[in-house]
Amino acid sequence: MRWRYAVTLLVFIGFMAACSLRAAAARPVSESQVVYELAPWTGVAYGATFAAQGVKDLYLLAGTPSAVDVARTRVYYWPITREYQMDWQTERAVAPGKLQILRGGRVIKEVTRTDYILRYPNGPDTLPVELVTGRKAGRVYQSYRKAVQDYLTAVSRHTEAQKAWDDEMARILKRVNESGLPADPKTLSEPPRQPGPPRLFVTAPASGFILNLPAGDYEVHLVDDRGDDVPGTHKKLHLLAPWRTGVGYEIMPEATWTYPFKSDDVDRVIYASGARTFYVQAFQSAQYNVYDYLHLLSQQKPLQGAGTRSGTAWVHGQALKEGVFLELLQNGQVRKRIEYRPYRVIQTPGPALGYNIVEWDPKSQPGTGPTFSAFKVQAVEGDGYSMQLVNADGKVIRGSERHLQSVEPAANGVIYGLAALPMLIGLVIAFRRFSLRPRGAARP
Amino acid sequence: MNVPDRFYVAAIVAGRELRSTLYGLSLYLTLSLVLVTISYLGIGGAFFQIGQSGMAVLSNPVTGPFFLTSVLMAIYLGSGAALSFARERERGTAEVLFYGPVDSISYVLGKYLHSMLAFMVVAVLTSLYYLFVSALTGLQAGMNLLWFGILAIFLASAVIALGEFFACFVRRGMMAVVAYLAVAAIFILFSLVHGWMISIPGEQLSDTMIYLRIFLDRLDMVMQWVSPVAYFNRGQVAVAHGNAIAFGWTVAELFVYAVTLLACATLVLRRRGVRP
Repeated sequence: MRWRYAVTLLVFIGFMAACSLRAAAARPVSESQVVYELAPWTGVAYGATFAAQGVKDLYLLAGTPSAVDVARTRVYYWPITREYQMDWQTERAVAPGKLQILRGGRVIKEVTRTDYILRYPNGPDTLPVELVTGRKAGRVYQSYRKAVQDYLTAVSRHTEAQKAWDDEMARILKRVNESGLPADPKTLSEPPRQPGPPRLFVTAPASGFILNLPAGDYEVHLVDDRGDDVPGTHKKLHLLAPWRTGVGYEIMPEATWTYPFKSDDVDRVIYASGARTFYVQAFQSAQYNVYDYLHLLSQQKPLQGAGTRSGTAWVHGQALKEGVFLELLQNGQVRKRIEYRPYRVIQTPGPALGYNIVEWDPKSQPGTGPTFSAFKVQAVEGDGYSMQLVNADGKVIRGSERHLQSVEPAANGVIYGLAALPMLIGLVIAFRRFSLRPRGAARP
Repeated sequence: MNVPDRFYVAAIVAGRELRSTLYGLSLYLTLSLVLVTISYLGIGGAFFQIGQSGMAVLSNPVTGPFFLTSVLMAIYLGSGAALSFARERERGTAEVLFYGPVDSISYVLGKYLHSMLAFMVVAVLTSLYYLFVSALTGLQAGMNLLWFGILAIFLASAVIALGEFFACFVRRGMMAVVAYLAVAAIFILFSLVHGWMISIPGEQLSDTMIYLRIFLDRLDMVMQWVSPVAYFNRGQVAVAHGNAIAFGWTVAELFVYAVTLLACATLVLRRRGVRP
C-alpha cells in the first residue's frame, strides 16, 4: 500500500509543480534592449511612446519639432494590452552618442543631445504647448520653479494672514457677544485674498535629440563618440505630412448638445428640418493615413492600426476661437458675423427632463463657469445658406466653408410613386405593343 | 473585315438587341424595384437621421443613392449581356450569325454597345428621378450629380465588359450569370466589409479579427486594380475634393479596364470559337 501513497504523493507534487510553472509563465520575460524613447508632436499635443528593438519604423510629424532619445532599458511584452512595456526602474542607461539622419544612404544631418522642456502657458495639458530647447529651456524652467516657489510662499503667507484674520474675527465676535453691541463695520477688515496658482506649467527638463525634418522617408541610427554605429539603433524614420488640411467642426444641436456631429470635409453638408439653433466649435484639422498616425501615437503597440494602411482619418488640432469669426452667408452675401462666446447649460427645475442654454455672464451668474464655448448659429429656413470662418481681417480660412440646407421631408408616397414611373413606362410600351399586334396573329 | 464594316455590323447587332430590351418590361421593372429599394435605404435613411435631432451632417444623400442605383443597374445589364452571350453560343444562334458578316470583334462590340445604350436610357431616367427627389426634399444633388453621372457611365462600361468577359469562358447561360453575379457581389461586399473593418478601433478587435483585417488590407492592394468598386471609390474621393486630375485619371483607368476586358473577351471568343 505504501507505494500507492508514494505514487499519489508524487502525482500531487508534480501537479503543484506544473501549476507553479503555469503561474511563472504569466510573468513576462524581459530583456535588456536599446530603445528609442519618443515625445512626438501629434498635431494636438506632445505624446509619449517608445520603440523596442524589434520595431523597424519610427513615425514623426513633418515640419514640427519632436524629441527622441536612445537608452538601454529592460523591455517585456504585455499580451493583455498587446504592447511592449519598459521596466526602466530596473535598468535605464542613456546611450551616449550622436544621432545620424540618413537619406538615400547619405548622412544629411547629425544631431546632438540637448536639454528640453515643454512649456504650457495656459496650464498643464492645455494648448498651446511649446517645446523649448537648450539654455532657454533651463531659464524657462527656473522661472517656472520661481513662480511655483513664489506661489507656495504666497500660500504660506495667506495661511498665516487667514489665521490672523480668523483670530481677529473671533476676538470681535467674542467682544460682541460679551457687550451685546454690534461691531462697527468700519473696524472689520477684509479677509485676505487667496493667491492663485501660476497658469504656466513647465515639465521637468529632459535630454534628447530634437528632430524637425521635412516630410519623407529617412533612416536613423546612433553613433558613439568614435563614430561607430551603436548596434540595435538602426531604424527607418517616416516624417508624416497630412494628405489635406482644413477646418473641422463639431456641431452641437440645441436639442442634443451632448451628441455633436462632426463635419471634417467641405462636402459634408449640414441638413436641418425647419429653423434650428446649433452651436459650432471649430478646429484646425489634418487628414493622415490611419496606420501611420496610430503608429505615431503608440509605437510600443506592434498591432496598432494593423490592417488600416489604406484608410485615412481626420485629426482635430488646436481650437479656432481667438481672433476668428463665423460668418453666416446667404447666396454668397454675409448675413451675420458670429463671435465665439461662453454658454452655460441650466437644467430646468422639477422632475421633468429639460435644459436651457444661455450665454454665460460672470456678473449675473457669479460662482459659476461656462459649460462650453462655441459660435451660436440660428439657422432660418431657406436655401442658399452657408457658413465660413474668417480671421480678424475678414479673410476666409481655407477649408472652413460648409453648406447649410433646410430640408422638407416629402411624403414617402410621392418618392416611391416617382420610383414606380419607369415601371409605368414599361407597362405602357408593353400594352402598346400588345395593342399593335395584328389581330388573328398566332402567339409566338 | 475593315473597321467601318465592323462598326456597322456591331451597330446592327446592338440596335436589334436594344429594340428588344426597350420594348420589353424587365428593364423598367428592375429599375423601379432598384429605385424603390435604394430610396427606402438612402433617402429614407437620411430623413431618419435628420428626424432624430432635427439635424444631420451628410456628404452624399442624393448622389450616393444615384450612384448605387447606377451600379446595380450596370450589374443587371452586365448579367443580361453575359446571359445573352452564353445563351446564343449554347443554342447555336451565334454560330449562325458568324456564317454572315459577323466576326468576334463586331459581335463582342455589338453586345457591349447594346448594354451601354440601354444603360444610357437608365442613366437618364435615374438622373431625372433623383433630381426630382432633390427638388422635393431639399437634399442636395448639385453639380456632383453630373460628375457622378460621368463616373457611373465609365463604371457601367467596365462592369458590362466584365460580364462579357465571364460569358466567354462559360458555355451555359445560367452558369455565366451566376459566376458574374458572384464576382460582382464579392467586389461590393469586399468594399463594404473592408471599409467597416477599418473603422473599428483596434482595441475592440480580437486577434483573429486583427489578422482578418491585415488579410483584407493586403487583398485591397489587388482589389484596387481588379474591382470596379475600388475605381469608383477613387472617383468619388476625386469628385468630393474637386480634384479634376484625379477624376480624369480614374475615368481613364476605367476606360482602359473596359477596353482590356473587351479585347480579352474577343481573343477568348476567337480562340474557343462560337460553336456550342
